[in-house]
Amino acid sequence: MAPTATTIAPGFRDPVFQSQATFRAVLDALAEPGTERPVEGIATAPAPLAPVAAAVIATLADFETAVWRDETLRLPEIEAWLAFHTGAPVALDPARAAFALIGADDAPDFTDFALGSDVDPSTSATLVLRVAGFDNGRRYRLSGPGIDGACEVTIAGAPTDLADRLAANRALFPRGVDLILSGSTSVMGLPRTTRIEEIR
Amino acid sequence: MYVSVKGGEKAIRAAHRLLAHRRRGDRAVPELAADQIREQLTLAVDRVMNEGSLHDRDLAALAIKQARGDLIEAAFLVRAYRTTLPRFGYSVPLDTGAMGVERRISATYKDLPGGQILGPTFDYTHRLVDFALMGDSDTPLPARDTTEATVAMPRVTDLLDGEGLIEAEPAGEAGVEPGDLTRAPLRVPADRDLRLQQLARGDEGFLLALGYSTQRGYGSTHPFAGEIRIGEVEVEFEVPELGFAVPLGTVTVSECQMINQFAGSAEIEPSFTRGYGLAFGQVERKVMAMALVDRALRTEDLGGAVEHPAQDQEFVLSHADNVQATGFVEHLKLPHHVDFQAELALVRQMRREHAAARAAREADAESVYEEAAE
Amino acid sequence: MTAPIKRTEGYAFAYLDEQTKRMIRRAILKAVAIPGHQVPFAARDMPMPYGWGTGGIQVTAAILGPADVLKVIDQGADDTTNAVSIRAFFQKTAGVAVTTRTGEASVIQTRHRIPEEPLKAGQTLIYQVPIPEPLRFLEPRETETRVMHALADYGLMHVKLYEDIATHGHIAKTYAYPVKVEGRYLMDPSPIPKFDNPKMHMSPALQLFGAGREKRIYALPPFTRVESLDFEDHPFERTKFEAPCALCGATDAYLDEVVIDDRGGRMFVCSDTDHCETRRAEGRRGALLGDAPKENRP
Repeated sequence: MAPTATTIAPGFRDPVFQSQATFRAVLDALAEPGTERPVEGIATAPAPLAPVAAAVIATLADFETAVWRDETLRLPEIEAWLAFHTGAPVALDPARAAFALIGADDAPDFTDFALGSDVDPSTSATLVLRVAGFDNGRRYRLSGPGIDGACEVTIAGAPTDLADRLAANRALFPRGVDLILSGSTSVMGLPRTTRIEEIR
Repeated sequence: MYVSVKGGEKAIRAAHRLLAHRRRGDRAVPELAADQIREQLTLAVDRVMNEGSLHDRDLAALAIKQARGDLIEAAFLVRAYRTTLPRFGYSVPLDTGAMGVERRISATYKDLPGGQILGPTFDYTHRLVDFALMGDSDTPLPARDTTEATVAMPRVTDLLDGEGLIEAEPAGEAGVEPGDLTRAPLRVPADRDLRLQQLARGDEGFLLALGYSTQRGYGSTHPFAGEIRIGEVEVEFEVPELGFAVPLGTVTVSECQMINQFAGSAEIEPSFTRGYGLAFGQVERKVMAMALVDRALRTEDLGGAVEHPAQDQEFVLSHADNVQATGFVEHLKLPHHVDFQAELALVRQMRREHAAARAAREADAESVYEEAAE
Repeated sequence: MTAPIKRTEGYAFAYLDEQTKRMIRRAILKAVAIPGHQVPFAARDMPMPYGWGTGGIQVTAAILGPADVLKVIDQGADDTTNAVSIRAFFQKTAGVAVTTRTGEASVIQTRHRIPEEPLKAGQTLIYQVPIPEPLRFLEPRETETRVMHALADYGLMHVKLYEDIATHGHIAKTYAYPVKVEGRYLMDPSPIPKFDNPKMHMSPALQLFGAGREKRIYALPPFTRVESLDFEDHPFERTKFEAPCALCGATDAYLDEVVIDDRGGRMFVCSDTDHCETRRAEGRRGALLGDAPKENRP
């Protein structure tokens, strides 16, 4: 049975101010790639939609932006929650999504998503990638706009070929997807401009 | 001593207080009520609703009062208010064929089914100032139509269509909703839906001048006023939960269908083509100009070359909005002294260089002269 | 700093409805991801005229939160009428704290200037932009210029600047001087004097640009390369002033020329009022204030 409105879990307690705070965290994350920005997640969001990813998508998506979700999120409670709190249409074709909620497992090739055009590179997708966190895991060196020289970051639970995927994405510039990594309590941004190499 | 030209909140408050005083005028004259404007300056209200992009007669009337009769300022007030309104959805397309017609004329037929109806028109009034209106006028009620039967009033273009003489109404792409330039930035080239939306919101004076220019050879479209009809149409809204459309009420609209001669091209056989205008209220001049410009903007679609301003999409669509235009023209009164300072320094430098170059040239010429004299 | 005031009821926080804010926020994120690229956005009709900062106001409204401290300047000054009006708008609709001190502000909305005090990490500078397209006066058609950006074909601009040099011996552009971002996009820095251009390069602050009438948003993330266009044999030169500020004695600030009589008398004072006041509070004096250091007297 499809869940009814009464069974849908709550979203933001205070949509105006929580979405503003989440947006600023995401903005700072994308403006300064490699920095970790704390986000108060939506704890009530149905699992396995992570609280931080839920806050990000509730902040950015609405009826104007189709959202693609990976297999693990295609559950009735999650569909109903996203529909109720964002009004965003479901994108079945990744190429038609403005946002995608993805995890490391079975993450589609990034080129499956909208990459924008040379005239309109801003029409590309923004991928919200669930990761375990930024305390341990693989190490990467980042450089590019937003970074004073270079910086090193640690990301746990990202696709093992993240650096290769992003290098391929970087080569498409100005086209390309942008990534918001959502951890357990924070976000980190990896826009298309960031050069990334894995430190082995 | 240095006295800076700086406003501050106090000056702004005082200016606005004076503005309100000027708006009110002589206190011995009774204050104008918004409902007087709504009932007696109806054509101003119509214009403000169109250029303000919001159908609300009371609000438009109030805006006209607040704006001291400046209709662009009033449209601006309405626009800013419109931004704060929640959007519930889009109405079902209006059926102007089912209009409760008050005025309907066709220049292309002497008579036609449904007849010609003059309605409340300035046409054939002699433009003599009526001094009787200085006081309270004793205005008789209008004559009533005593004929019982309601006559069908088919659109002139539908009559022509039956014979295949006019291009078929260009079909929209199936499944594609009309665009809305208030929700997505306008990109040119734009399809006709967006063009017509921009024209309907556009400045009447601008459209009038452009339409007029097509009549004077700047992109002639050989137009005939196929039909102008003004009257009430029902607005219906489809409620997703109900699954059918419910009527919300009626609005008065003016519609103009221009019929334009078209010699045809290699692919398209000779036929008449359409130019279309539709707007809120009784705005005959606006919809006629709109229909001329609409047809001119279709030049490229119909295989013609864009050679004149009225045919140029980017030019017309970028400059039709008077709220944008007035803001940008008037922004020149904001301080620009930082940039002017930079230009001052440059002009002084260039004058110095120019003078030095001239002096050098003259010195050269003199030495040549001296050499020649030797 | 002026503490938050109670905001006016009946309007949404910072005036814009949530859907509009989301739309603008999405455009800002894409702008940050493609530095220097103009992202189209569905600018709304605002309650102040187009050309008076509606783009900057919409960007500010979309990012502002209750913890922000806002500074608004026009021509470098906090007390010019339009700056006063915009600041009052956000005090009323968002109830935020405001300041005239550059160092205290988290968000600074500006028209035509970058503050003299170097911006810090964590600050956001929002520019009001009248014509976002740097090629507009060379090619009026958007259909053409957007293809030039797509192809990074900026020959038109180079030819224009080269013609300047051929005719005048230097580039005849003193404000809205075009810049290249990260070696890719040609960008209009808004009508700031070219004196301010070097401040954009590798700034630790986030810079956002809003053009309401033209419906474009663009951005410079912190630490982004921003180069003013020039030629090897005609390198970019910052405007220099012949006299120091008559009030604070500053020699490294952008100055306004003020006419003081009708006989050609004039003086130069800082355009950045906060910078000037701060220096005077620190005891620095220009020639006009009498006790100026000797070397600054005329």
